[in-house]
Amino acid sequence: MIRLQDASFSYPFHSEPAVKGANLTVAPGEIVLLTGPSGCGKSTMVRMINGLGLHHFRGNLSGQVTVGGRQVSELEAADISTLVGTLFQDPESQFFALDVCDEIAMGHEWRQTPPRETERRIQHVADEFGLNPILDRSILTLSEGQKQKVALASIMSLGPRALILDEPTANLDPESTEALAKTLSALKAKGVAILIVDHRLYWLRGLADKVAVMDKGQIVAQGPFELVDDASLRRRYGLRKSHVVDPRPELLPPELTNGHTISLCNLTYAHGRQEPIFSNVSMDLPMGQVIGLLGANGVGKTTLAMLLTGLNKAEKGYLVIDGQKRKPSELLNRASVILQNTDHQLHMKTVLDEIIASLPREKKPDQKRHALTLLAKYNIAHLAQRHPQSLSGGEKQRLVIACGEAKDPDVLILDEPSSGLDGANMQLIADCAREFAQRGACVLLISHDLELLGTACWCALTLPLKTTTHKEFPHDNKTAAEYHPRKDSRKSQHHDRCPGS
Amino acid sequence: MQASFISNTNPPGSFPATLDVRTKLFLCVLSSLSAIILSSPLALAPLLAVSALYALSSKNIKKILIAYVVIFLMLGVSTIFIVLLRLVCPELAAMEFRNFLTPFLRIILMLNVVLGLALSSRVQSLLMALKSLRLPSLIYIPTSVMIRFIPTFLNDAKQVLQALKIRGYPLTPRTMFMHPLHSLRVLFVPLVFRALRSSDDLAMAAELKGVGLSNSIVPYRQQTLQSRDLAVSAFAVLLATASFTIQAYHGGFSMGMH
Repeated sequence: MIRLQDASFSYPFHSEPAVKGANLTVAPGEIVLLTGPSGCGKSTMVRMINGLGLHHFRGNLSGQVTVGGRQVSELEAADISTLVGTLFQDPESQFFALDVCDEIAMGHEWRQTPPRETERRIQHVADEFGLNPILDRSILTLSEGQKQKVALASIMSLGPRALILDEPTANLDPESTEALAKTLSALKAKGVAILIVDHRLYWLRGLADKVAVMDKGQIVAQGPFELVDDASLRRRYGLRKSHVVDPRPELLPPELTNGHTISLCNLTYAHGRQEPIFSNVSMDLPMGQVIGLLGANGVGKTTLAMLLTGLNKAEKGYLVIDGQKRKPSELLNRASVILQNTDHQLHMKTVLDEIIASLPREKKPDQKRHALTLLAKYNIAHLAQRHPQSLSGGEKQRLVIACGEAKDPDVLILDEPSSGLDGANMQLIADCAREFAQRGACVLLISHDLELLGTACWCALTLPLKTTTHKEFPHDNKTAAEYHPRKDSRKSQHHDRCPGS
Repeated sequence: MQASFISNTNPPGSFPATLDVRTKLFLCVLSSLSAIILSSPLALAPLLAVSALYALSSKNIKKILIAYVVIFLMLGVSTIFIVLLRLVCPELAAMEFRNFLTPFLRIILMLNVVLGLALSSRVQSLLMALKSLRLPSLIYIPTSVMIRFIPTFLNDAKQVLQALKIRGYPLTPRTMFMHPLHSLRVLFVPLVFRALRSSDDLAMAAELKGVGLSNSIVPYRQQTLQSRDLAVSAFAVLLATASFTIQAYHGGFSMGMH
């Protein structure tokens, strides 16, 4: 059982508490969903329960926080972990070992558990979570869903009766999300008290017994799951939809409506000496559309984006742009690729400098105004003078997308842009992607987020792509002129819109 | 994942791949001690010959050649600077062949044994070896975390370089020469912040997993050394002893650079 009674928490050197007067109970065999807009204090609440707030962040906790009937403030973090396990958003970041078996054994080895007992517990959780086939595998070769399972098994092998999951579906495809829901349902049936912190709500319908909505450090609403069916409540607190229809069956392959297309022909690529993930495949990416790139974890969606822009070198294959046969690296100058990890993409001293550095040369004379316009569009203008690396995850995500747009590319590739974003910010990203496509660019959206796909995409390509017969250049019966993207017309439209251009 | 991160598979017939990681670590320690103590080229020669055979038996000739070329380039650059220094201040840098030969032989000796280890050992085996040595947690935790996160760090570095290409400021020798401060900023700022964030995540995971609860761990599976490992270790000790003897007769003991 997890119980918070009038619990507040403040971080060192912060006068305002991050969580104020929280009251929440998670009973054995109950799943409680904690949700709310980005920065509302959900993660702090997790840290209050698992002891990290006190022992790692050295903050100030008041009120009562008990786990399994014991006061968190009287226990060490390692002791709390035997009462309540915590699964973070990115399980790989909390792995110490490099193979599955050693990772599960880790906690027991440090607790001086006899080897036979450790082995027994490994076998027990391997049977429970279906890990036997991957027990000797390197964690680096696992899919996101498998990593999630290994992390869960590692936690549960220590025998906690309560579990906290922080954004567990952020990196999972819909099928892995479904599998996770089944695993949690089984744990719930065994009497484990489970607290789930997530922006995505739809997958918890029928699973969560209770919902608590947070805003500005306080629990503002609490009740059964149906509480989040209230559209006005969701709008007020920027929540995601509580019911999402899988849009994938409706998203058909893109149609070539006007001939302005980037064509990828006869692509063959393999990671090292492994089996090829693309074997002689071809596809057309029409300009002016938001195209979803779908497929299970590890099927090669990000790799395809890298191949398209020459960041990975294909064994075989070429692009047709402007009716001309081109190398993929030539597309890179006309493309913006927003990778999953935003930390890697921010280099400058301030948010404003980051945007200015991304602007094309012709915009340099009026760069500050352009940059501020973009920042305002993505709701981060008030952060213009902050260091980019000091922003929150959602703010960084919006900044890197703004940088991508600043380059004014023909192709915008967004790789999981809504991971960890609340409803309002997800909608903002979807709107921006559609608007950018309407201006004539090709937006390629790599995502597992059904809500984002349904909101933003007009069509989709599903991986793995089928092997095609050899395409000759120029393919089909189109002339070179028909392949000419509407770069010039788009530029002129853009210039018309931007005073001073 | 291989310790060198160059390839994930061992070529067939690789001799170092058949040895236990602890044996290979022992060879590295013994070689480094020899490199510190021995200064006579004659004493270093047998160690050098055997270590070269050891490295070559990993059957990664191309990678060994690349490593040698890098070392020769580094030595070439240092020689150029010594020549320049001699032109400016002759009394500071004496151009004697022996002054170059001994450090060169020492570097090559270490290179050979480290290549033998890196080109044939998996990171997981290194971690297991460290675990089975039952080192104090003060040594074990930082060492194992460092080894565990080498692949993650390299992956981060790769992604930062990719992001730089995407943003349109690729790091080429020319840009690094023309804009050194800018190049350092765009490369190191994301890497440093990423490393800080990773270390924070890991520290939290460590607290929750009970890492450091006791001074040492109880490994749940033990590694056993094979007779081949014992034979190789014994041969290495004998060879080192022979080299020390040669040094004693011909060059005397020295801990210095010459």
